[in-house]
Amino acid sequence: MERSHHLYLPKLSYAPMGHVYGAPYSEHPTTGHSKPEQIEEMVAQQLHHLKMHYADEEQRYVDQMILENPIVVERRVAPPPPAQPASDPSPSTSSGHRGGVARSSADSKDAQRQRAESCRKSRYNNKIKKARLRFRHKFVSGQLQKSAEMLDTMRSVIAQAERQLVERGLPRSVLEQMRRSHGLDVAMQQ
Amino acid sequence: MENYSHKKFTGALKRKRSQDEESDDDVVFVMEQPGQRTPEQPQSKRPSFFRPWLDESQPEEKQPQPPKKIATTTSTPASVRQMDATYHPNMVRSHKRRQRSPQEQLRRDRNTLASLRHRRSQQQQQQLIEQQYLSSRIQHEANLEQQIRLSLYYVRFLQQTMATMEPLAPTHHQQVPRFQTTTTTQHP
Repeated sequence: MERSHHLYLPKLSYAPMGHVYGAPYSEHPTTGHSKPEQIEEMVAQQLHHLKMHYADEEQRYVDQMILENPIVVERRVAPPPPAQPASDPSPSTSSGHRGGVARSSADSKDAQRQRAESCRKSRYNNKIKKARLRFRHKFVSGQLQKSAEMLDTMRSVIAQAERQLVERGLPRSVLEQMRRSHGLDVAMQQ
Repeated sequence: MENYSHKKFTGALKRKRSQDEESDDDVVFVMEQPGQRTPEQPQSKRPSFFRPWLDESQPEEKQPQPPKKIATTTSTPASVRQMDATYHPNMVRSHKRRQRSPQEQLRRDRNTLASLRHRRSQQQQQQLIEQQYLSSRIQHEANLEQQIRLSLYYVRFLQQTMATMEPLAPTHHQQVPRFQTTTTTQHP
């Protein structure tokens, strides 16, 4: 039976990542005082996992929002029919030398239509970009708030545990040293 | 979608536009069809950005060129200086110069400036949102790192120490930390 000393994470979507927090403990069950380098390596590894997780969640959220709020760009005229002999999208049609006024006006019409299509596509893509940015911003704001709250909770619990240890006679210097080795701010909360 | 009607083609403007040239003729593909330049536009007169505060000095760097972002180095009023910085050359339209009455030209100028200002403010808004997003994300990732360190500290040190140290009084055993754990021992 595995001993899982994991943190309870109620608010974030990090519940599936709970094993990440507990992983180093289960890997080194008897270490009391690890070297700071090992700790840094563990921190870097877990941070990378959490960042990847965040990126996935963000992408999923944005895609979901775009699906729920589809972007529409209207047309003024009916879309061009697909079977058109002159509607060659390659650059060769728009370059130089054509004989006859009738042909040139047809070409200019084609070019005009092509430009209108490009313009429309560009407008659509820009709208999509703007919407994606809006949703990304919304997502990160929510996540930031949650992580800040979680941090406050964790700090208060840790402060309580530290107080208990000090009451039981643990020297503060030991706490300070352990905080330092974990890369934490040495100043205690009270 | 077939019923879409833009105000440009309806209402009061319809009469005026019908008096002017046909809109088709205005579309001169200066870049794409060099062999078919209309005689009214000599080769040297390239389309350039509308900057009425400049006299005749339309600098070369403002003409449509492959570089996407055109930075201006000429003197412009401070209020509109930043507007020039990031416009794409494809935004410049290549229509024939129309003959307009001074009143109409004034109206056109005001509209053009207003649209430039609006576009610029929209750009700035988007940039602001982008900056906020980036700084929020950095802050969030910093929070995550702190969470990792704090949890390692707690699990690896504090919990262990709590378990190994002798308690002061029995009441301490009943305190359940908010970190939900399956600890090794629970004293009765």
